[in-house]
Amino acid sequence: MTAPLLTGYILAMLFLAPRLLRGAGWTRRAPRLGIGLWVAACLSTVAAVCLLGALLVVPLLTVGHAIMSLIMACGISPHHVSSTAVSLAMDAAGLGVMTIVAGRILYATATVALPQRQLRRRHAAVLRALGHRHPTRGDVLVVEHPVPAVYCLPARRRLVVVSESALSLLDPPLLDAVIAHEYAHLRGHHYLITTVTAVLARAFPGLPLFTTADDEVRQLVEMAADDSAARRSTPHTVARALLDLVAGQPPAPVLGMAGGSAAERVRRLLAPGRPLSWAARYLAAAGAAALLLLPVAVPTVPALVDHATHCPPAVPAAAADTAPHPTL
Amino acid sequence: MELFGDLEAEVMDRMWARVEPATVRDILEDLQQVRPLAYTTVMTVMDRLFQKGWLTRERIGRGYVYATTLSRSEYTARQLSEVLSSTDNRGMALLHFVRSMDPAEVEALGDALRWRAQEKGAD
Repeated sequence: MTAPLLTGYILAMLFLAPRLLRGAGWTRRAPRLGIGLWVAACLSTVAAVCLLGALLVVPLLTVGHAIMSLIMACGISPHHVSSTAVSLAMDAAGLGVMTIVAGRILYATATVALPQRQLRRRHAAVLRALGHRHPTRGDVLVVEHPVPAVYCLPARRRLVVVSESALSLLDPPLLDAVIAHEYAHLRGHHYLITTVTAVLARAFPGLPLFTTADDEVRQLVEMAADDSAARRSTPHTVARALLDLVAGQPPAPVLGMAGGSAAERVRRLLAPGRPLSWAARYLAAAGAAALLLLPVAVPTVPALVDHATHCPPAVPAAAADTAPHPTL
Repeated sequence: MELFGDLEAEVMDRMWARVEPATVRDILEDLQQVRPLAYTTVMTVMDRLFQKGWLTRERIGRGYVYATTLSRSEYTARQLSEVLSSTDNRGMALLHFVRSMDPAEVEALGDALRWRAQEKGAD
């Protein structure tokens, strides 16, 4: 009963949710909520697949008890496991699903997250020798380079890096806006968030949910940082900084997606949409929370009910022993 | 090229600032203007930088004379080209403020921006 419903949920999340969420214009108006919803959708789906795998091996109640036993020391109730050909095949399928999910995530972490982290660390360490502190803004590292580049590094000591040519293109208010944008990335843990979506996109290629989430989240973190910078200066200043820096770039050999999204960011800053109503904000936040809770709640809620009927309070121990156990 | 420790970074900074080759004692004297350091400490650091490929050295008399393998800007260019590549995994490792935009879009949006600024009387 639960397995078909879960399968339906997973399929809807994998193929339908990315269309709905990408089509929803409101994520542009509240990028941080958009990020939250995308990440929640991804994590919920991965958890649901793992749960489905677990359900093929053990009954729903056992999964629920296992989750509960992590929370409170009740112990996993040993359910009778029959070993017919069908149940063995289900065991194999369930373990297979969980192994594949875990294996793919490990593989993607090893090929995406770890090399990127290493590159950032090495780069930060080298830049400390190559760059010099900005004369008036001590939190900015200036490097000698003809390409206008601005980025941040989430090293132990947070760094905002500005190339000399970028510096020459930005007058002080624009530089302030750009730095505010970069600090918003660092404060908002945007590196962690984009790493999670990049790992999932690599782990499960070709599945619209994860590939779309990775794209969208990369754009939404930029918009969230733009908004943060715009609050400190003005949207107009951030838009000018974007255009001034881009105008100084050498012609891009390949116009990737980054090109389109930068233009969208400027348009968004020039003509900001109506801010999302409070009701809509709460609804989106509740949706994200529901997505995250669902895979935990599906097995835990029946187990809680089971627990309430099977495990009466431990104080009258003798009474508990003699109490008739209802069969489920 | 491996990464720098704190003191290694300081030594490289001095080496680049000097331009011409230097001995351990030259660098030691530079560094001692900021804080006290032992000769052997600086010697060890410079030896490590040589092992890592950041410095070259030539034996002159009883000691070595060190020079940087590449200039500061050459190193910077090499480092930045790695993180500025927009195609592969490495280029995706960093969150850049902005990378590229369609030139036609730049012009159109620039016009929109100026028009809006005039309209508001700002700037």
